[in-house]
Amino acid sequence: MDVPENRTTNFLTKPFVLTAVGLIILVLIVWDVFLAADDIGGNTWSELLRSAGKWTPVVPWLGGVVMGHWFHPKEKSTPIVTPPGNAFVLIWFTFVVALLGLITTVPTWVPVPLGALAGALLWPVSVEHPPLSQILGRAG
Amino acid sequence: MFGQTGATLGGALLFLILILLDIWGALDSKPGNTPSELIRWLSRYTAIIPWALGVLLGHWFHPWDGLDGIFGSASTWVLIGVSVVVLAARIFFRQKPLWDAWIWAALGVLAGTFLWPV
Repeated sequence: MDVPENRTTNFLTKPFVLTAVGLIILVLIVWDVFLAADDIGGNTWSELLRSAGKWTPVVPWLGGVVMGHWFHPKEKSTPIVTPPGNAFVLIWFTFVVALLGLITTVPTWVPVPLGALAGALLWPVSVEHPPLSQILGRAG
Repeated sequence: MFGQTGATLGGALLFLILILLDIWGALDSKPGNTPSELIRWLSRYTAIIPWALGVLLGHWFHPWDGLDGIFGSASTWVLIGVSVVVLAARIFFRQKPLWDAWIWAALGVLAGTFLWPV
């Protein structure tokens, strides 16, 4: 799809996105420190995610999907189902995982490798690999 | 200050921003600028990113309730030490990751499970 070049479509430079992701991670870490230090029990991200994973297998499933999406083995990988069908299959699998969680108890660790497999096969991110200096040195 | 509901909503909001960045980056005119593409690209140069995500998944979603680190109270320090080595390998020795990112992620899951189980 051809997108016109204008201020709206080209302000997300790579350094900007890297900075934004870094800031989000920093906020999460600092916030977690405050959550761990306060008087309220069970409100850190780890405790919340662990209990959410027991409540529904969708949470660890999505964690696995993201891991497979980012860190699949093949350098130039394409989804085994042609887009946009891959998105529908992935959403369908997620729906099935949610249903399974309603009718039976799924151990929290089981959806992680399955989600990683689904993320690697159905939603692999593929990116050119220019040298480190080329991306960090240029604005976008 | 933040109860479980407030913390959950706050965390969800931050992840929503990340997802919106990913969608915006995928739809705009610049190639290769989504957070996912940049994380994939960076993980070619340092193993700390897949290692860290794997550690978190193992930390959160390990199989056994009430699990303790295999080295007792020293487990967290062992994990920090290994993570520092993984990070320093790139920064100080300019060592590219020995293995593919998915292997570091899998090793991270094991480390998170056995050294830092929640």
